[in-house]
Amino acid sequence: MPEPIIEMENIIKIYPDGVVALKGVDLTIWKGEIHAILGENGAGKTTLMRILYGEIKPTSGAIKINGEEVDFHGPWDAIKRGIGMVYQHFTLIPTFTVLENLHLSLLALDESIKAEDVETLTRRLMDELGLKIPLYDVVEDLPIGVQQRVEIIKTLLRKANILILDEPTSVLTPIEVEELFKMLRKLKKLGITIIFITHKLREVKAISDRVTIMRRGKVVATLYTSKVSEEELARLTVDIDLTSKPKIRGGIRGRRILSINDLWVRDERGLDAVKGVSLELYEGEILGLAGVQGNGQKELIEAIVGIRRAYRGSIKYLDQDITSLSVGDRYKLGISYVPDSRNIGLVYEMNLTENSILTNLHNYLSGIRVINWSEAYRTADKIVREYNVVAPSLRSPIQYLSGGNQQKVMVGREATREPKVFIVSEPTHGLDVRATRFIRNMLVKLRDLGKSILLVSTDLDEIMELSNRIAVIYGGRIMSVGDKNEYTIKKLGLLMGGIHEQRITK
Amino acid sequence: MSKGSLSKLIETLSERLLTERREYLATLIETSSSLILALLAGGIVLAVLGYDPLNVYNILFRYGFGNIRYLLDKSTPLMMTGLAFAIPLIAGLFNIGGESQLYIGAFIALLAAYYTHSHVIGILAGTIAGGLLGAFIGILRVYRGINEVISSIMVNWIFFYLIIYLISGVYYNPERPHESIPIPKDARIYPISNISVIFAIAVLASILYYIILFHTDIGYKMRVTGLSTASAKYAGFNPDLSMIYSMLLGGAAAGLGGALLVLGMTYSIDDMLSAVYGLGFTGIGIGLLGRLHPIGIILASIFFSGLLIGGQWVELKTGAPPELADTLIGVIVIALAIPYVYKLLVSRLIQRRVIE
Amino acid sequence: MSSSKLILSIVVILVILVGAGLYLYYQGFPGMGGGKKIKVAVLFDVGGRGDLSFNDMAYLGAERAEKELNVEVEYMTPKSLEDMIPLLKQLSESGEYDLLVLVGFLWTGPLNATADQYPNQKFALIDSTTGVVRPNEADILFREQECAALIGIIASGMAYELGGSTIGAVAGMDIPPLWKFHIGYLFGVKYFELKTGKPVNFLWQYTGTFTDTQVGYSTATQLLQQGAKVLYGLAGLTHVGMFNAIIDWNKQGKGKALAIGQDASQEWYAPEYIPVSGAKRVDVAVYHAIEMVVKNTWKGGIITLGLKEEGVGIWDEDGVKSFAELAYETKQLKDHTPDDVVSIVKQMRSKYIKGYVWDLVHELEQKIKNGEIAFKTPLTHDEYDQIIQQLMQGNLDAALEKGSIAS
Repeated sequence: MPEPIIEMENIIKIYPDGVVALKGVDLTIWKGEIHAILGENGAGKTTLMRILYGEIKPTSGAIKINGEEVDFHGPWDAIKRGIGMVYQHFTLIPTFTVLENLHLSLLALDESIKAEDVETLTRRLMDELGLKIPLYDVVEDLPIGVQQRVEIIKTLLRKANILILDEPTSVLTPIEVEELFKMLRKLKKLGITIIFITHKLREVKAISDRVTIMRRGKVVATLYTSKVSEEELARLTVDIDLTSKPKIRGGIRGRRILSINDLWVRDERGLDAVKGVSLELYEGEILGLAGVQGNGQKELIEAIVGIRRAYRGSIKYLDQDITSLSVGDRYKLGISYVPDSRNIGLVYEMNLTENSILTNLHNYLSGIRVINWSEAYRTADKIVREYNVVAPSLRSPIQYLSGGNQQKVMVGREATREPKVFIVSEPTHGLDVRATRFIRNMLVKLRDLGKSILLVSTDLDEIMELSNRIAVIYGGRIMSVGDKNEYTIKKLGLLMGGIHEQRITK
Repeated sequence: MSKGSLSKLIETLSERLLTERREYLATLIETSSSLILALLAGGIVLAVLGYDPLNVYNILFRYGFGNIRYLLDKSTPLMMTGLAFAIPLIAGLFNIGGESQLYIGAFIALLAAYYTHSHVIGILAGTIAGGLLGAFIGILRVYRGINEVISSIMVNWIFFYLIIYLISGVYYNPERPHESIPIPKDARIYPISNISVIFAIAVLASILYYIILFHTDIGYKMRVTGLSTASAKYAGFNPDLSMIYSMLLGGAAAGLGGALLVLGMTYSIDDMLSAVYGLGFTGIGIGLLGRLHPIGIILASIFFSGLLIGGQWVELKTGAPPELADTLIGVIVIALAIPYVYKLLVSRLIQRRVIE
Repeated sequence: MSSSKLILSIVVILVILVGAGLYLYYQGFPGMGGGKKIKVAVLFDVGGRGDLSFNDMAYLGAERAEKELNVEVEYMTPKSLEDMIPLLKQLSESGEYDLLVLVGFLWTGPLNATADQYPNQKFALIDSTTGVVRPNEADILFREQECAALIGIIASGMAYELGGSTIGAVAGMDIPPLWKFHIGYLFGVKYFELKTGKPVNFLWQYTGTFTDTQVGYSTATQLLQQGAKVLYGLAGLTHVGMFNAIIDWNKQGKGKALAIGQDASQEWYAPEYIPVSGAKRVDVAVYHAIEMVVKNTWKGGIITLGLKEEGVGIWDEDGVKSFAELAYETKQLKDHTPDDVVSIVKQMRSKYIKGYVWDLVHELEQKIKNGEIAFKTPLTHDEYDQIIQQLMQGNLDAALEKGSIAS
């Protein structure tokens, strides 16, 4: 019989505004296991973990650690009990070096600790884990995956033996995810208990020993991962059957609508990020642009939209050269763009209605540049209805909506503008199963209506599922373009890593 | 309409009403409790210093809000400098230059009215002068990358001394050498049957700013720019232009404030600038107290003016030094503004960090 | 925050305030009403107390009146120029005060705009005039020429003790009050020349500012470089720069020179280098105004105070001490105790102001006090220029309205 390390009994959490986040949750974590907590956004996963970490107090219920009842008044109490938490958004100081960050976090425990001591401790820990992290590099210069490892090391240095990871893969590239999993397995070997919050079924299967599925503030089931299939997990997570995937039609494509010819774009530092890209986009197709993040995708699409200047090459929309048009003019022509980050595509402090006219303001202006708000409300209402957005009202600040609903508003706004060219970047990033399904279905529907879609995604499943054609970008160059069925996930992975097709076929 | 959809509509409507009422209730509790806390904090300060809080508050509020015309007159320039701070901040700029924008507005209005005998021309000239000075700081920021706080502070002092020089050396009143030439009688703005005309003009200007901010594309773009420059670029707006517009509008507000001050209240400027000094700085507090909202700023300027007026009487009636009233006002205003200012500064600073 | 929420919150604030106000209003004032003591309000300049000059002197005068004349005095510091008119109106309308004393020239315009509306309210304007005679308004001015003339004699005498014969003045702006100083100061110098036969070289420099210590410093340095041994400060804050220039001049060993202050006693600022100050007794003016009300001798129009009324003069040891004490209390005087200041000043005076100089001072003082002579007050710049020109040529009578020195 495994030994329980954490027992949470009948946890209820009611927020001051009356929202019931947890409706009596029982959770038992065994010593030394990797335990996944699976659920849609808003299922109560994060609330439950924040209670365990002492950040918020439960309305009622008991928590036992190693069989002993505890009453946490803040994260410090939890840290003292050996609990460590790694958030989605890191708590490192970006301008400090790795060592300075680690030193700082340990100073809170022991005021007299020296930087040299911290370095020795860290190096010993890294040896144990087989890790290499440049201790003297400034944090903001490191890749996200490495920053995350620093966060984990930080908690381990504080002697955590229970590690909570809140959606750790949402910020990582596929390769970084693999590395994270390797590290987690090593930690497990060292006897560390890991709680892994996610909404991705594949990850549950890949890493966890057991899984607890939550839905609307309740635990649905706790299962041995090896004994359930992905389909079963999906069914348990959302109570409807979402396993059927849309059918991809192939080969029906219309006019060439966008042609990019030898495009060169620089990034913020003035370095070439896009190096002579040529691409074509046709009506009625989804062109998936695959690549590891930071290989020029962002610069390429921003140049197509006009946010960034291309210093060489041309962009043609039908027969018109749009290389030097402003963003607004390109939008008016029928180009529409969903950025990868919601805090760019949406203005968080503004309300839902104000956000629904962001990229289409000129259509809501009267002669003297006065905004026609009743028209804007109509649009917002349309988006809310057609895209099943759950929001208290059309006047609610967008920041009070859940991530999935924000994404729906953003995608919905761009789709409602009836664009001819629809550029979407990471459209399902950080969304739960239901919202992801919804957005993907919508993209396919738009494609079937004859729209051209350029889909930029680091999620290879998404690329494979939705695209008619696929282009792979690496180091600012297109490695390969072709029909979807010419590719496998494995082949994509190699191309994204910069290995040429010829070498693959050999 | 089917029965199902009707009931659904009623359901959503009532839900919306319920959530909004909850918001109202929260605002109500939040505001009244913070005011009570503010007064309590001030009361404690008074008690510690050995004054009877009830008596002091009695004088402060009774005299402060007792003379309506004085109250409204006094709030006029403050309302305008409140806007001068708020409008640029909405677009993401800290305009500390309301001070010099008001000086130049007052001075140019004075000259214009002196030579043309027209208050309308005085108002227009002062407003334009303030706006141009504001835009100048905005242009320095946008095209030269000069931090607007630093340039505003420097410009404040440049104009402080320049105008002192002009008033004491060139445009002085030969009969009263410490004063500038006066506004001619026919160019002064008088109240109409005890209604403060300058206050009415200021309120109209505030309403105009409200409309610009929330009902025109200029305002919409300014707000987006202030909240997120990246979003503004994404939406195809020109954030630089929005920033300059915001400084133009902010400066114009301060300039109008200065014009109304000389045309409707002081009729001249003294060579120490005590007629105009400090109003721009007070405007910062008013902008924040009014939650950067033009309508809020109207009310905040009245509230603040009442405290300033009452403070003078506290000295007279209790014998307390004038610093006591100033301290008390500071405590009340800070207690009222702190939660909001904190939120605001944090979000704006983070936003700036991301961009710069 | 949505606008409706915002408006709601402001409405809440106003409702609470009005409610509280009404409650307090009906509660009435504690300690209000009562006796029939004469009540005076002293309204300071915008800066208010702590200037160690006008406002503080006004306070001293009012305090003395409160004790000696048994009146009740209250004080108020207006926030800004724009507050002055409404405050004057509200105070007048309250009918609570028998006299409103207005300190400083900033009140001139506001008083001129309101005095006619309140014929039953008495106003006293200190050191300025509206130029309009009203029965309810007394404008109290000073005959600055009289004290400047005495200073002229003392400065000339001190210059000779310092081994030179050049004196100067750092003046503020070229405006009528300064014309009076110029005439008086030059008159004193020529009086000294006439009576002793010792020639004195006279330098007068306008700086155009009352607020710039930097300009005061550089102007004073230039005058010292031209050989001036004694400088008279007539420029408010600007001549603090002059004081600093003289202190540095002495400390850097460039020569020995002394300064003379004006208005308040300024010896405390550097008693080793400022042995004497001309007095403009704002306290006397305030006291005088209150006294007129108490003793029922009120008279509207312009009232001038000179040597005879002790409105101007040279600060004596008591005066020096009381300002040194004020400065000590406000921590502006740090290096010495007030008693030190007085003893240093006493030493300096006996060292640099000889008996024959005092004799001349007293002689002229007597002539002025008993009305034998009286100074002109020029009304135009031309008139002023002419008087100065005549004085430079040694025609002392050109400065006199009445009497003659030749006799």
